[in-house]
Amino acid sequence: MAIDRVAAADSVGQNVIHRLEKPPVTPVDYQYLLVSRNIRDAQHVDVLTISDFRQVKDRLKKEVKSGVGIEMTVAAARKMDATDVGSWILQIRELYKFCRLSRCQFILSSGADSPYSMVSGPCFDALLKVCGIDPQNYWPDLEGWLESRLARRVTTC
Amino acid sequence: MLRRREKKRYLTILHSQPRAVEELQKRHAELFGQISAKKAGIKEMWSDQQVTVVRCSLESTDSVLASAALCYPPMCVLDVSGTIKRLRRRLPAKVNTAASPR
Repeated sequence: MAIDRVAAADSVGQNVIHRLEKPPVTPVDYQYLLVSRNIRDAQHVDVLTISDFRQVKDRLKKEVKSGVGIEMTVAAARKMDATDVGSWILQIRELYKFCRLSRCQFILSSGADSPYSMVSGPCFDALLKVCGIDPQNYWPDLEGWLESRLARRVTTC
Repeated sequence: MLRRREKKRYLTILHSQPRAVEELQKRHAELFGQISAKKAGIKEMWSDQQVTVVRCSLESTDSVLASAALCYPPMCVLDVSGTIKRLRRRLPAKVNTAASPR
């Protein structure tokens, strides 16, 4: 398993899922998810990106409804020292458990802004294993959640 | 008694810095400990400006992959193989795919 081309200039819209902060006003010909870093937006976004689960746990309990994706990025952990990475891994475990209990979708993403900071499939699997998450459960769950979320969107494609 | 060689895995790593393998070894030791780092036996096999092939033990592959994902400056593991020959054969396709403009 390795990184493979998922989209090229001629197939944008078919295989790429865009991350938008605001919903488009008119129907669009690409697939998208609404993303926010603000917990106050949790009621009307698809994915909520958080950096420190312990800080926002109580607010998440109150404000997040079931079905929302809660995301943490690997990019944030790259710059941490070993102690903080250990804490980050514990937070991932806690967030995964929280998501299972509150029927939210746990999302681990690369947070990449360059080809060098992308995370390949085997690395994701290894990270999930380190965090105590079985990749064989994680990926089908994520796929099912993604399909159900995208099915709710109005697109022209 | 059979004397079996320990199985290895070869990883293709895309990186932007010249000392990527040292960074990977250091990060692995930080995260998983010195003993684990020695057991992993991370070794540079071949290197280019942006791409390096490293070798590690089969048992430590997951910890090495996790360390690569948590390295800074960032690096990306493009491919994993059991033989360096197969890895080299697949190398041009993998590098072109990863480096192609989006």
